[in-house]
This record gives sequence, C-alpha cells and structure tokens, in this order.
Amino acid sequence: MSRVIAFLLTAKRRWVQAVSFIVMNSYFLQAFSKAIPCPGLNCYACPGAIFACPIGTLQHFAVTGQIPFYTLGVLGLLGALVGRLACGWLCPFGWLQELMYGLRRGLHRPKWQVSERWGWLRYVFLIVLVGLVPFLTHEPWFSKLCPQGTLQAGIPLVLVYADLRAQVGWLYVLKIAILLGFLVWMMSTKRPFCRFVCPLGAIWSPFNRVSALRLAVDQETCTQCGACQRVCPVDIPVHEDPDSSRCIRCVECIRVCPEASIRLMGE
Amino acid sequence: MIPRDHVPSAESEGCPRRRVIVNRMLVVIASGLILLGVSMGQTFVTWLNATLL
Repeated sequence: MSRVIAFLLTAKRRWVQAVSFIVMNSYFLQAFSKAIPCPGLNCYACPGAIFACPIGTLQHFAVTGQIPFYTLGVLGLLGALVGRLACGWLCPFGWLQELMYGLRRGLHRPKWQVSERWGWLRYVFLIVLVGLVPFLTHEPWFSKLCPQGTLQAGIPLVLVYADLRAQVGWLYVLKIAILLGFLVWMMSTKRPFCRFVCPLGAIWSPFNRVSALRLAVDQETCTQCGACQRVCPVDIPVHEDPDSSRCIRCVECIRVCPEASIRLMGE
Repeated sequence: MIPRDHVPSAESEGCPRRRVIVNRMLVVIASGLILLGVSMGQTFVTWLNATLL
C-alpha cells in the first residue's frame, strides 16, 4: 500500500510544486497571509508574494537583536511533524533546481557530483550569513545575495521601476553573477542549493532524524541495487541512510524500489 | 525458523521510543514558541508595521 500511495503522490509532485509556486505568489491574499512564514524559499520582496520568507524574517530579527520566537516556532513545528517535506513539495527554488537538472541531458551538460562532505556549509550560511552578519552589520546580507531573491524580486523590480534601475551597482552585478552561477550548477548537480547552501534546509535538516513523518528501509528485503539513489533528487543512498538530513521526503525512492523495501512511516 | 512474533524489529528496540519522545517534546516546544511569539506581537506583519511607524 505504501508503494501505491508513493506512486500516486510522486505523479502529482511536480504539479504540487507548480501550484505551490503560484499560490505563494498570488498577491491578493497578502493582507492576512504575510504574517505566515513561507514553507519554502520564496522571496518576500516578490511583488506577488503572499507569505513572509522565513530567512528574511530571521535576518530582520537578527538586525534588531530580538529572538524570533514565532518564526522559530513555526519552522520547528513543521520540522518536527514532517522534517524537510516542504523542501520536496512546496519550495519554488527546489522545484526550479529539479527543472534545471532535467535540462541536463538535452543540453548535454556533464554530471558533476559534489562530495556530501561539503553539506556542513549550509549550517555556516545559516549561522554566519543569516545570524551573525545581519546582527553585526544591521543589514540582511543573505537576502542581498540570495539567488531566489534576485530571480523573484531583484530582476522584475529593476525591469519595472526606473528609479531602481538608476541604483544598479556592483551589488546587483554580484547578485546576477551568483544567480547565473547557481543556474548553471543546477544543470550539472542535483539540487546543489538545497544540499550545500540553503539556510532554511539547514534549519529543517536535523529534524529529519526525529520527525513524525519518516522513511524506513527493510534491510532484509533490500538488495542494495541503488535504484533509490539514482532517482533521489538530492542523491541519497536511501538504503543506507533513510533518515538522512538531506532527505526532502519526495518519496520517489518508494515508488522505484523493486523490492518495496522502503516505507513511509508516521508517528 | 524464528517465530514471527519474535522477529526483532526496530519497534521492539528502545531507539524509536526515544525518537517519539523527542518528537513530542519538539512539537510542544515549537507550539510554545509560536504562542510566545504571537503574544509578543512577533507575527511579521505586526513587526513590519511597527518599524515603519
């Protein structure tokens, strides 16, 4: 039954991601929804954004020297319940990365595997660029450099408003360079931003080990064929580490496992 | 042949129970943080409005 459910879910996952992107940027609900931290990396400065980017929010509280109880509580509750599921189903930037990687074969881009040893970098980005630097400089530096912010807000707003165009300088050029770098990287590596940079993913990563929703592998039936890793959007050897901190709960591995060894469990 | 009801499983070990306890604690703590934050007026819109005044 778990495999049937996984098949039905994964068939719809791309649609859920697309609908999530549209809903998150549907503009007209802003009056009451901006108080809700967005379950994904969606720029608050996007003209249509209806939720508040949690990373932007955390930086604002770091700038003012306050503890963001509400935002941390919402993120913690989501993490405790479903781990990094929002990364796999709701985050627009995660969706973009999967779409870009899908272009790899058509554009004849080589596959570039980056060692997971660099996964700790996302915690550095969280602590330094989202916490320490905004606290010391009183500027939300992660938001200034965030590629999702550039894509959703930096580029559209500069195109629309002439007074913003007049202010374009080295920082804007740097933002564009960072975005372009990630767009190219996404075509060679699976979800590189999620695995090595995303501070929101860094917050949710530790919850994967203790979340109510989790994966389990029956080692007695598993043949270690590696099918789960080949289909995994974040390149996890699921048969070895089903509760990996990288896992985005996409359940693609459940769908493809030939022995039905992987299960989705809830507590 | 091992009788089915004596096959060792993760559920019979201590770790899942500890995980459930940790999970429940995290849910309670997170819920408490939300309530604390809301009572302090920390929903983002409220904060944003305050900084604009």
